[in-house]
Amino acid sequence: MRPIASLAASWRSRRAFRVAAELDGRRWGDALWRSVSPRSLAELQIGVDARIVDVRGADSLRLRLLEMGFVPGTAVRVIKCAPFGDPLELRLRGGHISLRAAEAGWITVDPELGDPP
Amino acid sequence: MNAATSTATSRPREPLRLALIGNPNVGKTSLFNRVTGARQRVGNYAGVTVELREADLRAGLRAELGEGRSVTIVDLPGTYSLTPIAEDEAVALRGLCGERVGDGERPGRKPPDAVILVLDATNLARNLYLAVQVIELGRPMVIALNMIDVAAEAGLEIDPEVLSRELGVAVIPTIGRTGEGHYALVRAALLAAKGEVSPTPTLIALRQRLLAGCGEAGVDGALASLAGVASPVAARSLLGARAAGTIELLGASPEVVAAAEAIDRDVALDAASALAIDRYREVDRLVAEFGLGRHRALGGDGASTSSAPAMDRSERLDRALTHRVLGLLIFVAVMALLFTSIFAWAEPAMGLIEELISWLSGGARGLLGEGIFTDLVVDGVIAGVGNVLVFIPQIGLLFLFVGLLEDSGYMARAAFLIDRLMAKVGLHGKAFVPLLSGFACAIPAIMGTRTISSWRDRLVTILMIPYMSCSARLPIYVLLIAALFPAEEAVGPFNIGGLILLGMYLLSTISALVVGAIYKRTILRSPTPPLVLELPPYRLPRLRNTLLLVYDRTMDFVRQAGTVILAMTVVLWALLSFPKPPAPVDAPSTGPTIEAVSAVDPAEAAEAAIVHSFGGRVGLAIEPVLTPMGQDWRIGIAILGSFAAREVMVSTLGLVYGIEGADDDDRPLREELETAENDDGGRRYTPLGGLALMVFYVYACLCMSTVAVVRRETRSWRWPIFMFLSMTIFAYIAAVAVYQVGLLLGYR
Repeated sequence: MRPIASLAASWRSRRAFRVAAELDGRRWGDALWRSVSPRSLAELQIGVDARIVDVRGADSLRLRLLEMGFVPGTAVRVIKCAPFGDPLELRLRGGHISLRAAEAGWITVDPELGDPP
Repeated sequence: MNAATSTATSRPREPLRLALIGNPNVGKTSLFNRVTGARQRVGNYAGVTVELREADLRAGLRAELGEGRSVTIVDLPGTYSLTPIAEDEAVALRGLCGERVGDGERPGRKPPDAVILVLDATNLARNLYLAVQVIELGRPMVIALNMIDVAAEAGLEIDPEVLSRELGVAVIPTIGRTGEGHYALVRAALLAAKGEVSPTPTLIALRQRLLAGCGEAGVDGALASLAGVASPVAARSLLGARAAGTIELLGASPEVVAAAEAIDRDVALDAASALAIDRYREVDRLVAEFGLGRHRALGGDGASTSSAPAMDRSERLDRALTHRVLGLLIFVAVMALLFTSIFAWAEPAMGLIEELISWLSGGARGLLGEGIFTDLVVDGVIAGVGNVLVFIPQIGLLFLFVGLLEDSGYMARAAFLIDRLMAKVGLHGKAFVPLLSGFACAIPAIMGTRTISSWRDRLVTILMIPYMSCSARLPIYVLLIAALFPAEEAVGPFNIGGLILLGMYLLSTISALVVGAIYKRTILRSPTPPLVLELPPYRLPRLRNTLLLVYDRTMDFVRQAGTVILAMTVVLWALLSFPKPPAPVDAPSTGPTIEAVSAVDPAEAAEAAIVHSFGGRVGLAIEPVLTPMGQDWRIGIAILGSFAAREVMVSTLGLVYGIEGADDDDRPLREELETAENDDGGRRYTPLGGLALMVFYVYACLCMSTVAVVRRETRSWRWPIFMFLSMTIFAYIAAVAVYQVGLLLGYR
């Protein structure tokens, strides 16, 4: 139930941003998203380039994320999310990595600093 | 480094040892298979279950290189880092340090004479992290820059000479598919191993810079507290292990462990994290400053295609393969194919093996004549060998599929697609394929759990698999349904037998998932493993590697689990054949007439023998225990017999009823069960009793091969015994509950 609800919510919000973007005449969503950046990687829109600013995580998760290349300053982009709404597919350091939203939530990103990863 | 090289040169008879290390999916095992001969040895370190494979350098290659000494190559587990967060990394680290970490030159396995680091040329920005860690260790090393052809195709600018110059390490470009560069690679590795290459100033400087640390006070303090017991390099590994809580995986001595445990975990975590960030700083510098892995046509077309060129083709494929609708459909189709293959395609081969065994049995009987020794050979040993061989087609097919899927890169996508559902149980997406395979047969499925890297999760999956209703339970369900439930009865459009069969499969699946969720939260409590899963570029699978994997797994099963299965078959045969009944049965050699012989019906003789045997007596003795679940002693004997393999239940029950060959054609047995009456004239087997017995078979771990293979995979008797007892007790309770509740509700 929950994934469907959250998918619906994210779709609705994307539409809202698209509308906002049309009004703004810029890439959809940019204006609104930028007003709240930085944010967690789990909330990053699909296809938006961002840069990692902070990585936290309980126990050894932080260490594992860092070792997999999620270090501050690295460019990242969400490619897609899996059919059931989780996990996410990310592009990072020229390769693709999958993270669950719960883990991606520990990573703070800033879309304003985004370059293509 | 010096100590290692000097011992290597002073004792020329000792083989040179090379260690292969690299990220997963870089073609490391493929390289290993190419440069070594077929004879691989499997070993493992104390305290860890991850295995290492080692083999000698191919004789031809050695001769070509003019190397007089024998050369052993160790294939370490594929890993992204050497910080021992999980077993894979710990084993790789120990492989590079000489078994124990932090004990200096204390006895243990000698560290390798040289390290061959395999890097994926298409993915340097990630691969160089491991390279930096290997450089920190300071062993003599060479780098194989693999898949250089793929990188060139993707338009990546990779110059091995630039990399070699900047790292100060010999870099040999290789192409895994053709074997190009392997000769030069081994030659360079041998030179390094013999200490004929002195470290370049660049390498020394780089290493010094890395070991100087990041200048953070916390890191230096934590490292300083380990200085007394470990070298600066080992101290870094110990710090990582302390941060991850995995000190026990390193095989270090008690003093070292105590010193590491004395460091506050949070301090260790911060320090290890700072070290990781520091290493990536070095990696980023290498990548950025020297343009390693930059796209040749940079700035040409759109930014989105040139930023991960090696992934371009994969991303296009993934538009279908991980699409939210199409991707799931393809996933279901692939899994259905995998499942069908072990369920159905293995059937002809298994039939062939069974025929071969029965032909052998017949031959042996003819050769040896009748007697106890013949029975031992035929019903014990040959049957035992058959019980082992019969699994080979299923194991082979499963690993053929798993190998091809893994190699192609699809397996990671499968885990990606299904992870959301597996996470509900508390498991990783990778646990899905072994669990699904459990529907066909628990043996290959349990062996297939090796892809799961967390030991606890692997154990949970192993304990879940026997609950999945395997194909050996099917003949039992079919026999009982056909005998006890009228074929014409239906609920709506559905046949009652079909519904019961469906019910058994549902019951087993739900039970497996519930059991897994419970174990995950109780005895094997551990957080849901993080899914930090690389989705590698799709590649054409290398059949040669997969076939080697199939061969390897099959031989491993035959050697390790097969011996236990064989022994258990012999024991079971003895239980069901001794003591012999008092023998009036012997066909009188003087008996002149046909009638005298036919009076002693061989089927009846077999019936008498099994009832009289030790197993038969146990069956009789446990009848009071079986009554509450609606069964009698005959079923008791059949249950004992089915420990050999569940489907043997049918033939054992046949023996009890004096019916030969019940496993080939169960119709006479079916009729017997249908019409059998108790002394009071009531039906001996009721539908309710049949249902209870089916539920018993859903849960009971009546399969010695499963027990044997769990012992092999967990390397102790503890878990198989736990599994056997818990499942059997639970099966009994469930069957009694079904029967008693059924009676209360007025069913018969």
